[in-house]
Amino acid sequence: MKVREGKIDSFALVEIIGRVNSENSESLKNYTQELGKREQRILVDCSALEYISSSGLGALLVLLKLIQEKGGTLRLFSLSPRITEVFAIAGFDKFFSIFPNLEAARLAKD
Amino acid sequence: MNTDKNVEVKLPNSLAALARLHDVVQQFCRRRSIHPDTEFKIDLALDEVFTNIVRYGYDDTHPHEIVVRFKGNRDSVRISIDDDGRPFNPLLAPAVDITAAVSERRVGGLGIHLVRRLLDQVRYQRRPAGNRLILIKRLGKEEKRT
Repeated sequence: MKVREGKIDSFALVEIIGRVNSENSESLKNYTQELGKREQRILVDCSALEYISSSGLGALLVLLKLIQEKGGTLRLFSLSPRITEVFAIAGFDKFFSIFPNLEAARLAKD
Repeated sequence: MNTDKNVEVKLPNSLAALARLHDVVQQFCRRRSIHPDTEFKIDLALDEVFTNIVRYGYDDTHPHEIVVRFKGNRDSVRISIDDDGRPFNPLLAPAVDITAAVSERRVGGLGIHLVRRLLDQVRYQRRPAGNRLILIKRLGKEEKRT
């Protein structure tokens, strides 16, 4: 797993790449905790996210809670069908804002 | 012995072994032309089961062995996971409430929820030497071997 971070408009743009399993999810969680404290508006590019376990979902949940607490914005985009299914089974599709692509995510209304 | 159909792997109780487990799943599934979507589900379910055992299965800090056996026939894949940890039936764990509000959501219990939903059958057996979990995934029409 790798994470890349950049900027687009007023958003921090974060790309999660590869496989997030239970072994490396702790480093993702350390990152999302730091990111959630530092940023207010975040877009997460999941186009290169191949795999995510429940521990990885936990790292994203931490981020969502931090952002919601301060009234910020967190949007995920470009989830593969497999990752979309994992989100749906976990019930995470109910409270994460998920968009088909970057354009839809950055142009969405708060 | 590993035959074309059956594979056995012995892993240490360490999350570092997840990479090896993933390789074995991939090899087993590809050799049997199992659909990548099915492979993904088996891979994820085993990740969750293995992680639960490593994190919560032992009362000591000694090294332990976890044995994973794969069997396939034309209709399904059967995987058993044996550990020598304390008695624990994950199927009796409280169900996760996937309709809870985000502030109430916890990750605990989510792993076994995913396992149940990704696979077709999950069975637990308490054995004299430890626990056995049996996972069964039925294969789609396009994956069935004649």
